[in-house]
Amino acid sequence: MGIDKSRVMKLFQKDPDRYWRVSLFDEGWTRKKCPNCGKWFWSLTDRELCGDPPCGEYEFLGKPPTKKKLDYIQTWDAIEKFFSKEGHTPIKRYPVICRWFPGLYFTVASIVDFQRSAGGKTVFELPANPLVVPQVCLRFNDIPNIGVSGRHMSCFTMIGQHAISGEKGGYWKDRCVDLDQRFLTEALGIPEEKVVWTEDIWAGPNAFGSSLEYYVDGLELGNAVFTEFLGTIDNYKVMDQKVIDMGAGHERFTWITQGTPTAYDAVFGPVMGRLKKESGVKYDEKLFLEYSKLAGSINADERDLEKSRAGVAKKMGLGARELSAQIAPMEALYAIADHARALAFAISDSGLPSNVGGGYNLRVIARRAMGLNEKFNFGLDLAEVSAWHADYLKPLFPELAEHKEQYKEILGVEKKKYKQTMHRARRVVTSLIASKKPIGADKMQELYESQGITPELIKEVAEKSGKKFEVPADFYSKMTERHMTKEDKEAEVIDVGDLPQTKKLFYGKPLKFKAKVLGNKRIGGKDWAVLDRSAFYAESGGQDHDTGYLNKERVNNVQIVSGVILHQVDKRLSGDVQGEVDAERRKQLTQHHTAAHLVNGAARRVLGEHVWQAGAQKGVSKAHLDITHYENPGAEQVQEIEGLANKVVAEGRTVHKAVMPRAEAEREYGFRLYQGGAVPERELRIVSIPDWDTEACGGTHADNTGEVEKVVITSTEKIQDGIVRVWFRAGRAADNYLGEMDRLLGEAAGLLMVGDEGVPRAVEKLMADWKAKRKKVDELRRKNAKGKIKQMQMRALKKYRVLITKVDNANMDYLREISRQLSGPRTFLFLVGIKDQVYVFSSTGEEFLKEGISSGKIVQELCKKLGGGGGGPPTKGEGVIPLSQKAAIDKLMEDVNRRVEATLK
Amino acid sequence: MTRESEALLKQVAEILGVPVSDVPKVVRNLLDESNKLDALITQLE
Ligand SMILES: [Zn+2]
Ligand SMILES: [Zn+2]
Repeated sequence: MGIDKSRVMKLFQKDPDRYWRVSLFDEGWTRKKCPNCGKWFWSLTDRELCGDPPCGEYEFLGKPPTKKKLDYIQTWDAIEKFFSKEGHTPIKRYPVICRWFPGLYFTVASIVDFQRSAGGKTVFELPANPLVVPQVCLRFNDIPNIGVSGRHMSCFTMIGQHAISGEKGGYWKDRCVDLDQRFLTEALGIPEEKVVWTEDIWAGPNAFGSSLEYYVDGLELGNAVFTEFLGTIDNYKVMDQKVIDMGAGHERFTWITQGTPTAYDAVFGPVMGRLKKESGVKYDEKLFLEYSKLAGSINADERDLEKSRAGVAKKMGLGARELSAQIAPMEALYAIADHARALAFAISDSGLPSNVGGGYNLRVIARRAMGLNEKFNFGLDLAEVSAWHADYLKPLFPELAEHKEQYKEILGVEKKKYKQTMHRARRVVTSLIASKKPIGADKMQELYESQGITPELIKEVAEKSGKKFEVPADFYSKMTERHMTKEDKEAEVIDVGDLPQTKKLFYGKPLKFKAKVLGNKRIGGKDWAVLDRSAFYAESGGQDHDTGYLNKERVNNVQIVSGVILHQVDKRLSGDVQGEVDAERRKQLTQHHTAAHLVNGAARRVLGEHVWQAGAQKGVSKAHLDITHYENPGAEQVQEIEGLANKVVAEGRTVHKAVMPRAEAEREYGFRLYQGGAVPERELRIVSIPDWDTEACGGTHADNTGEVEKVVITSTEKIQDGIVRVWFRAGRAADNYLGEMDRLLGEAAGLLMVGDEGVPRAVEKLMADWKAKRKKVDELRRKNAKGKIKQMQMRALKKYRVLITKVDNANMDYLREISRQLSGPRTFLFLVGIKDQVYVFSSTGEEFLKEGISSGKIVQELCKKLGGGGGGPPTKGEGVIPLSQKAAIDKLMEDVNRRVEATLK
Repeated sequence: MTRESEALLKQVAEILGVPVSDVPKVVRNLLDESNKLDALITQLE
């Protein structure tokens, strides 16, 4: 349930001075209401309209209002210089894949960097106050507009200017707006009368506040949000931690200083030049400038693109097709540039295109870029374009260039998968179109999600066969929204009432302990005891629960709910109890858990930095770790992973465990910590195998890697596109497994009477022999059948010969063979074969037909009577009867016999 | 204990197209079948 924005707006508008007036506006600014859109805005001039398209045009196109042109890198230099001088700490960007905040796959705004979850609430943790950050963000809700609108991007840098009011170094509205205005005028040299501040509000799920957006020459450059109130509109209070959340568009700044036809030309710098050169696309800047001015308000989502483009073409004195032919290839290049840049960041930050979660969106843009490249025959390589971006952005984001190899590897695999999909898709779509069934939104979604078939492809195939098909404008936004946020799994809510959290003893050594029973819960028809303290590890983090005893009662299951440990016992307990954890089981679970971290670290080293834990299960007899990877690794890679894990076991490294403040842990170890997902706690338990793997983890772990004894990877499998399951065992479970392998092989060797090494050959030979023998049996049967048929006696009746008989072990083919050998013009045959079912066959010779008997009719009638079916022409009838009617067969044959005899009387 | 047995067993499982744990069972079945076929051949000849 979000907060109703219109109600917040109404509330604030009752007292605009309280919410929007800042000290800057005292210096001759006036507040006006835009007669066109109804928004309130502040300006130094007597302008009438707010200027935000469609209340104005992009006036900076071709005539930038700034002192000088800045490229992308210089833009950040200017920002960093200005805000540093004003006391801000410039910090490095955070990853675009958001690992630290639950519910988000991607970093969608600069403020996300500092959002953490603690006890079900969102808190802000700023590493410096105030600060400024060039935060690269990924958003996929506007894909059709990317490359087309001149300004939409899936990857953009939000300049975050953040401060917490009331804390040291922090400030509030006046200083924030003052700084932003001065940055525009002093640092960029924009005349102050060009700046317009527009009143707006911001409302999140549980907080809201006023905001001021700033525009220059019709271009929105930034939005200063003042997060001030906590709660809902009916029940709110001023926050203790008021937050300045100013987000400005790095790309917009660069664009306005250059006044190029599109933001892409300014932002992508030399990459656009290389793209044009390599693809051979001609670029008519004058035409584009004119088009951009007129098309500034085109939004493929909101309007029909073709229609608005036709309107623009008319104004330019061109035909719609002519204009399209001129600009479409350029739009495709812009889109490819954007997508390659987004992928460069995502892959550098260990994102992976796939069919699941956020990886899905990465696949969408990778495929869109590949599709456009193919459609226009550009001959570009997406990974190379990503590498060009990395080179250009090196001064600002040097980490990109370190991952060029991964662009090649990961996008190479993606290209292969794309080709395979396209091949399959063409067949599917062709038959779908041939079937003439309408392809509705649901069908499109299904084709897209299950097979990666895009609406564009449907359109392409449809048009080739002369059918019309329109791609819905909102298709991608709907699809990507489905994959933007993580769905919170609805956990079964168990009410533990007001029972206190259990003191956890399981990280310590002793497995025997004394405790007091605080209460009993009845859940799922079973009794669960709650203690004041417990050494029992409850099932969590993929590690199976402990078992053991409380007094004489066996503990069958252990769960934890809101910090309260529940012990499932068969009898209700009370008073003081003596607890004892099953040491063998605990040891095994611990070995498997530490082994999981070892395998994770090894997989990352062997397969690449994109390897991330996607799930894990640590049981007693076996364990598995799910990792993000694009294909099932080969035997050699698996061997290498196992080898590395065992190397660390052999080295006997100390496993460090420590509880530390979240911010400190993130600073020291980075977001790789969150292998098991974001942790909603202010303090994290860090499990670190030095120079190997460090994770925030609540499991039980060995003190030394040597205690794991050995790691055996038993198999790997691709469980989803982009996720590989690695099955492994450690310690005794590994020995048991290897022992079992010995036993199984030994048993096979014994049966075959060969040595272990001889088993594969012996089995091959056995298989070959078996096949040869089966063939021989078939041949003998066929041969014998011929002999048998010859021996069959036909009964003479008048001038005719008749055979009415049952043949064991005969199918229809066999019956036909009998008929082939024995029938003639004066014969009548009625044969019943009994095998997997009852086969009925009859034939009547041409002369015999004159007696008025029809084989087809007889078979039809009799089969039907016995619950089967059949029929045929008078000369031949074939049918079947269920085997359950076997007992009725003899009577059936008598019946036939009687009929034939009666006919011939 | 080495990985030799496992490797051989996996090889055999692949030849037979069955899971590793089913190898002895399938080998036994094949031997039985093979014997039965021998008897059948004698009978048919
Ligand atoms: Zn307006
Ligand atoms: Zn763990």
